[in-house]
Amino acid sequence: MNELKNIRNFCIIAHIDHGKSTLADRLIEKTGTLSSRELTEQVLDSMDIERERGITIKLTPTRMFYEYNGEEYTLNLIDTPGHVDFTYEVSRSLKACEGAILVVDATQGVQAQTLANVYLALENDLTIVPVINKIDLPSARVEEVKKEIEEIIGLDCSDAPLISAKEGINIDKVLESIVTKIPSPKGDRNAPLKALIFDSYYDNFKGAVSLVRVFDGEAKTGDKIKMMRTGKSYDITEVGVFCPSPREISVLKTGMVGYICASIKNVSETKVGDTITFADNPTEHALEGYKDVKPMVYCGVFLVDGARYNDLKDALEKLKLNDDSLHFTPEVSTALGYGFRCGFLGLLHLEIISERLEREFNLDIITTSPSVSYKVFKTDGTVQEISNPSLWPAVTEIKEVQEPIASVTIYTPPEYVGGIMELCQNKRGEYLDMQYLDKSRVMLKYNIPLCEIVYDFFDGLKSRSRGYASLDYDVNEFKKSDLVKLDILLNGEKCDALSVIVHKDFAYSRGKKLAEKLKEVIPRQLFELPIQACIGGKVIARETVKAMRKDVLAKCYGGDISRKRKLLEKQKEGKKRMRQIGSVEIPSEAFMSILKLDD
Amino acid sequence: MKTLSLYIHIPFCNKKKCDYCNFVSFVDKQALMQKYVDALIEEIKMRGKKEGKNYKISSIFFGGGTPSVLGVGMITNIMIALKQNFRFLRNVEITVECNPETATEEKLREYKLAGINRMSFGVQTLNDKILKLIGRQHTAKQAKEAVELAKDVGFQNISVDMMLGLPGQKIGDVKKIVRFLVRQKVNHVSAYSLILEPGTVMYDKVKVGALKVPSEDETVEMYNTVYDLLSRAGLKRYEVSNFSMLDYECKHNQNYWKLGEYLAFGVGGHSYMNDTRFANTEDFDKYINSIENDTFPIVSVEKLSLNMRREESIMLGLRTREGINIEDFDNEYGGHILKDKKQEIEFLSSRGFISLRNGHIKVSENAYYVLNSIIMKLI
Repeated sequence: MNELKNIRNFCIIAHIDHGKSTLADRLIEKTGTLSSRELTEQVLDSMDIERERGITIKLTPTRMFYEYNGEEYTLNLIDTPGHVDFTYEVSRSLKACEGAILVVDATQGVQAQTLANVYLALENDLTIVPVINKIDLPSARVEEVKKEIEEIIGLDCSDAPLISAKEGINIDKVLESIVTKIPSPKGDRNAPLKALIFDSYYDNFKGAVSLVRVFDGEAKTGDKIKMMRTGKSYDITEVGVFCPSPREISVLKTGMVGYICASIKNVSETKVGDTITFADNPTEHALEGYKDVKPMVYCGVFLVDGARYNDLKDALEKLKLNDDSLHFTPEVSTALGYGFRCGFLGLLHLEIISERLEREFNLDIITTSPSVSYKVFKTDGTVQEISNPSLWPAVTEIKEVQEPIASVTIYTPPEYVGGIMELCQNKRGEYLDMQYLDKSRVMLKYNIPLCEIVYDFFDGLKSRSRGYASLDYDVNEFKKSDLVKLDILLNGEKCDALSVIVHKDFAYSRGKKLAEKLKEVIPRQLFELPIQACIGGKVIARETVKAMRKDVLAKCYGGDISRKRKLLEKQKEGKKRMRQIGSVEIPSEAFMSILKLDD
Repeated sequence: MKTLSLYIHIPFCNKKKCDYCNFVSFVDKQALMQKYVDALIEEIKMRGKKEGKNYKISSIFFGGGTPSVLGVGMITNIMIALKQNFRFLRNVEITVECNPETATEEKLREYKLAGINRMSFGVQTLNDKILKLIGRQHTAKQAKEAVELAKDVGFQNISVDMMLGLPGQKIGDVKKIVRFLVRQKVNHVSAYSLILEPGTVMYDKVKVGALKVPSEDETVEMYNTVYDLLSRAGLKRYEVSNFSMLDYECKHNQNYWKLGEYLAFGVGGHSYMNDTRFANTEDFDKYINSIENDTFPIVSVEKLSLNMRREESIMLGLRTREGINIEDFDNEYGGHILKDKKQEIEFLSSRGFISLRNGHIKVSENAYYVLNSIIMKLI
């Protein structure tokens, strides 16, 4: 049964909402890996945030058994995260497979994410099995979508399973296709161990657990292993497979998907993409494609109640245990107090971490405007990578600034092309290419500075295409750019938490917008409060918050001072949530509404 | 000997409660008035036994609800009980709150005979439309007549409550009532701004947009108008919302603002004695039962820490024209407020919100409207 020819390693790729998770659940149910009751429980166990957003963040591999033509097959499903932030993780998961099921929504057709992942799969030489989902919906246009897949991706759809994962229609056909179309793994059982880490997580008892696909050789408890990138060696304490909960087995053989524990203290030592081999008898070459993942988006994370700094530190450390891509260093802001400068893979990653800090660790946090990392060439000949506006050098010290440029691919119905091109142009985009893929779909390619994408590109794209356009991007170069630091002064005092780096051409409109928004959210103070947006020493926009005329003139009847007292206590409580910038008091909530991502 | 103020709560209203009111009052318990007065008298006896000998009474206040809805003779009986159980200062101030529609000549004469020497009328506004809108039971005409009647009966010390920031209220309405008060030589005025209390009819109406109240700026204008007209007529503002002729300041309220001791009788009454605040139940039946069982109907007791008293003394002291006496304050609570709050005091005084004169911290006349913000800086 552990014959290579009876193993199939595959993943499911799909655009968000096209039904990937539902299909995965159906496969698990159909193969009897879990009963539908257990399935519900298992689904309930996964992270709230994932379920609410309908996206998968964590990769959960599952081993299933399926009998076809009298033979039993082991099907290893390796789930992939469906978001551009996690492209590298997706590529490593794909590397662990021989095939991919491509799920396309029969009502929506091919989307950007679908294509991006298909290309990734093709790069990894995967066999792709197209599956058309949601055929039960009245708006399903099966034939058109088939044609789309054939024309755009070039996949034969003549015998693609037409399914409804939700209704459980034709799930058998999918399982059959997996067995008949996806090749079995290859590898040399007698060669030294060569296993790819495609994910890892931290377990309180076992330490860092590597999720692996074995390409050559085999691994068992007691083997001395080495991580080829980090060079560190360990003794295996346990190997096992996922059913879908972890189950210990004696040997992890060639072609199999499972896990390896080796009393590793930290997930930073089990890097995704690294190759595990024997310490004494290593394989010759590490598997290709390893990348050291670097944060793309940065922001400051502060607390509404500054006294909980240590709780924030603990929380970030705990999250880091399971998420090596999260970076953080302590930061002090005059406005927001003690906090951390955090680095994320992208905006979604940032949002997920923020939400987890709030939900799982019960912290009220304030995050500053997301920024990217710039290369600043200084007049003294040094180069600095700066992601925190408050560390930006004085104008006179800067010789040149370079910013990261994203190569962006957008798929949209043709009627929105005009609006989207305008948006890209407005965001300093450099036009590269446009192709009409078919009657209903256009592909646009642009180079756009990453900081513009991080600012409010998604919202603009959504509103200009009524949600029909989809986006994928990849950062691969830095370019010289005319960037300046925009400061906000409240009552003449600089508020460091509100500083942003912007392109010179946008500084005025951005400064004006920020000042206007601040005017809206800052409560009236005891004095007239000027809000100024400045570059260097020059004021480019100004707003004024009028002085307060009246606060609560409470009555004091009948000796009921306790009523007045309650009001006082409430105000004192409110004061705790106030941030003091010079003589100006700003509620933390006001900060949040300014710094919210969708401003 | 220490002095003490007494508060008597009368939790009944005529037909209905006003739409903005969230004090303890009932409209469906008229039949139980006698029972309630009996219980009050019993509570006065119980307290008198405990505290009667230790204090002299400086002020008494009948509040509500509407004390003037009580039947003839009831206030007199309560007064007799008070006199029998407590010792009064010679110049004790005794006030009854009265709604214009319940002020009959018979009742006012009874109060006078019973020793009441101060009448406080809830007039609020002289605009009939607004009176109706906020759920009052009287007309402007009735209000005017009540004040005149009180004067005729012989009350010299008359106070009128008015409200600012009422729905539909204009500067003209405010001028109208103030001119009337000046003409009648009323010697005390309380001008309260409407507070929308959750749970009241008006709160809901404003929230759903059925009623609109004047803006912050408009209400401030109304206050300024009241201040201007009254001060020209010789009524000085001696507290945020209170104006009076010289020597007609309300002693009862002044005692609250000085953190003086007071005892409250009746449903929902709050007392303060020996640094401790305690409150009677707000449940009518429980109150009666408790008294019948010869036990105090107290449901909450809170001993104020030094810091709480310090905060309250700032909160209340700044409401008054006198302000906070720095020396007394430092002696009572320790520390040096001028040093401890140096930055805040400099900030506030340099901008004219407070003044430091004759050893007092005082809020400036035009800064009363932002009193809460000032308090928050100083506590």
